[in-house]
Amino acid sequence: MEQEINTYIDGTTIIEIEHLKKAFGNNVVLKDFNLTVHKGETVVVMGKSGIGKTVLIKCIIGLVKPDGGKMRVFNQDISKLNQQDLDELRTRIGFVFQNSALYDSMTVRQNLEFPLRRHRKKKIRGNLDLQVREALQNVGLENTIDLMPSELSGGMRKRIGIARSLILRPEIVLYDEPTTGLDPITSEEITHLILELQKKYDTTSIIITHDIDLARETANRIVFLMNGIAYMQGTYEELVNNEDTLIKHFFKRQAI
Amino acid sequence: MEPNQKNETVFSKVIDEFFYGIAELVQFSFKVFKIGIQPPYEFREVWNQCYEIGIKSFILVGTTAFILGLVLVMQSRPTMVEFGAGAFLPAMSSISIVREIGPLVTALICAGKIGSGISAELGSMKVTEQIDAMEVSGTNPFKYLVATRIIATTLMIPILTVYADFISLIGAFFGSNIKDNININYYFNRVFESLHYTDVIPSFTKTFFFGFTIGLVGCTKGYNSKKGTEGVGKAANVSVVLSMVGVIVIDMVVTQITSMMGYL
Amino acid sequence: MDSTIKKSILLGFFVLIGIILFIIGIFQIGAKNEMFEKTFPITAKFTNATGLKLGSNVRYNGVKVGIVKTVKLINDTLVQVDMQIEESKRSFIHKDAIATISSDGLMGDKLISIIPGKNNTGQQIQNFDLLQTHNPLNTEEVLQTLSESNENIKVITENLKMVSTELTTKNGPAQMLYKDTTLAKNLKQSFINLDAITGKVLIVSNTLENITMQIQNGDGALGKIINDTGFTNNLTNTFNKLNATSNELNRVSNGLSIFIEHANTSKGAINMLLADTAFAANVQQSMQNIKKASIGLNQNMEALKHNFLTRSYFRKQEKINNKIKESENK
Repeated sequence: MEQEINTYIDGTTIIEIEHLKKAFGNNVVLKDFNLTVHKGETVVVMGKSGIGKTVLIKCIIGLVKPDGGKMRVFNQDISKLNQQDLDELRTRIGFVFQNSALYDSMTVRQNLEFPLRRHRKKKIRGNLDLQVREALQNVGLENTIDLMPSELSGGMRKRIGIARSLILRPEIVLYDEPTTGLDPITSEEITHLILELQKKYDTTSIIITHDIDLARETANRIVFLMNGIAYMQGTYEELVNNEDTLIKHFFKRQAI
Repeated sequence: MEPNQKNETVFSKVIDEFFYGIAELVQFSFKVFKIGIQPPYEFREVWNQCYEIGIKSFILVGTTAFILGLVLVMQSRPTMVEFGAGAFLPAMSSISIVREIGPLVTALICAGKIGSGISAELGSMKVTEQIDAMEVSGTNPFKYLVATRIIATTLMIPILTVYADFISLIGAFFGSNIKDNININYYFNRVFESLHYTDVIPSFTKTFFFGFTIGLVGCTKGYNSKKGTEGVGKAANVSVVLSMVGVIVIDMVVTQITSMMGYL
Repeated sequence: MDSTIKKSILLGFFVLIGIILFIIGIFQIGAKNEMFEKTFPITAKFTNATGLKLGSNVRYNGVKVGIVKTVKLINDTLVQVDMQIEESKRSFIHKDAIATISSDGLMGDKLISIIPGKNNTGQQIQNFDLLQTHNPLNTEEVLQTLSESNENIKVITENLKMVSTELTTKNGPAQMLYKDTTLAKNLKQSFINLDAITGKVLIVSNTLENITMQIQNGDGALGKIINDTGFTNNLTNTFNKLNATSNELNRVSNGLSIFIEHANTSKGAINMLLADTAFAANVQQSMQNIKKASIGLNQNMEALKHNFLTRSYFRKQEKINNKIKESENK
């Protein structure tokens, strides 16, 4: 599986984070975070809860304004973009939210149509209905098209969330804890879905999780976030066999 | 940007929160005007919100207005008749309904129903990251969620008030007909005869302010609600209380202004 | 049908009906306030414009012809009221029409009531014409002057009493009275006046008594308001005084008739009267006082007749009188 993914990686850098800083009041979340992501790569960011993983990817898409540091996505400095360019950039990035963040007041169809309608330029790509159906087909939930999000189970919501993030065919997908709160079987299904879609649409991904199975299956590289810095990087095997007590502790606890 | 979570306070925790809330409202209203007037306009969403606010509150507002009109006449009739002023009933009911009861009742009911609805909805959207999702989808959530709702309340409360006034007058007509036998033509003749533009214009104008206040408070509290379901519940609660107080204060100020202009 | 289209249709309907209702309301109010009819301005000046405001009705012989436009003070005693009168009613109102402030029923709005002038010149009213005014009657003022006149009458009757006592005791200087024919005539006239006044005073005191009774029983429409205020006491006092005065007047007039008879028959008394010039002057003064007072009282009676409290009573009285007359005629 790993080789398969690796074939897509080429040398182009599409995300470049240097000395990223972010603090909320006195609570310093990111101190000096550095990360480079290449095209086609899948980077898993791991770490304890509440350590700032979500803040990190929200910085990447411009939802959170960093206090300092440089951040370049597709060679554009996020913090210097105006609203229009930022929106333009966002069409090239998909974001899968932790709780799916489906719009409660809309049906599944309207949820999926929303990004298509809002990003006017992408709309040209064709029939709305067709795209919605295709996106639902990808996650295997075609029959839910006219249901409300409240009628769906957690796993289904997650799938719809993924479908919505992918409907604009982004080049980068950011997953925020895609398997948290799901049972092991559903987690596995989601993991496979992520892999499958990655293959299909040829995307670069950053996955935030503390699910070791998900990390093992998907990661080309794992970044261990601790104390506001990228504490350690490496492949799954490298980290699992690492002698650092903190990392050892983390993997041991999770494995049980 | 929360108020100081630590022990450092400017006055005391409660007072700080109060002033912070006011600052929040002022900031928000500036932002609404600043962002709301920039194109593109979300006409569709405004229309949707008008439906949610106007049509869905109509039955509640209408029923209350009818009953209040009825009760107003039934309550005041014995006293008025005792003073020999029974014939003055239509005039009295029309003036009190158009000037005060219609606008105020509509605004208070909507503050309860719409204000809490808006802040609960926005609060839970915020908590479940739906607002973030919207922003990622190339939509300014402030414009799409907040400005549209405020515009919708500002436009719909006046229309609801017009309905409330008419329904309340009809209620008052039924109320006077329980003991008397008044011809409907005579009744409405008397009603319109005793009204003047100076009754209608200030009371109609103030409903726009009522609507704006309800929308603004509901959106501010919802949009800035704290994480967690408790934060959402509290936001809804606070927004109802605050918008009701706001409505009553505006009512008082408008009454004072109209009386200063010599219209009372 | 698509649900969003359905919603849109419903909302469109809702908004449209709302706006139509608003417009109907505005136009109805406008029609009732003569906002859409051509009007012309006239003015009137009052000393007191309590309750008049923008939009108050203007009636001509009870028919609505316009509205009050502005109410403003022009100096320390006068209030200028500008009115707008419908063009179509112009031909009915003449230059000598009189404007008064009255109210629409007991508790109703204040309004301007225009009544035709007495000497109908037939000249149509022009724009910006200034109408003559009657100032509105004030109940309290009426009662106030009434009690003043009572005091006056009291003083006069005291004087008269003195005169008549002196005359009847035959020690008074009545000679002058006998010689001075004008004085005698005056006295006679005053006596007749007094008689008339006494009658009127009696009527008024009866009316007031009735009203007070009604008020005390709480029957009347005003019963509730008045029952526990000083107003009642005021009324009771007034009517008591009136009663006392009229009784006294009766007595005095009786005394006077006795005196006049005496004066006609006895010589000695008249001689004595003649000698005392100071007393004679006194009597003359008293006569004049009586005259003044009776005129004042007459005005008060007229005022009371028009006052809302007693108007209905006087009307009834008139009807009864008419009936009596009719039956007499038959």
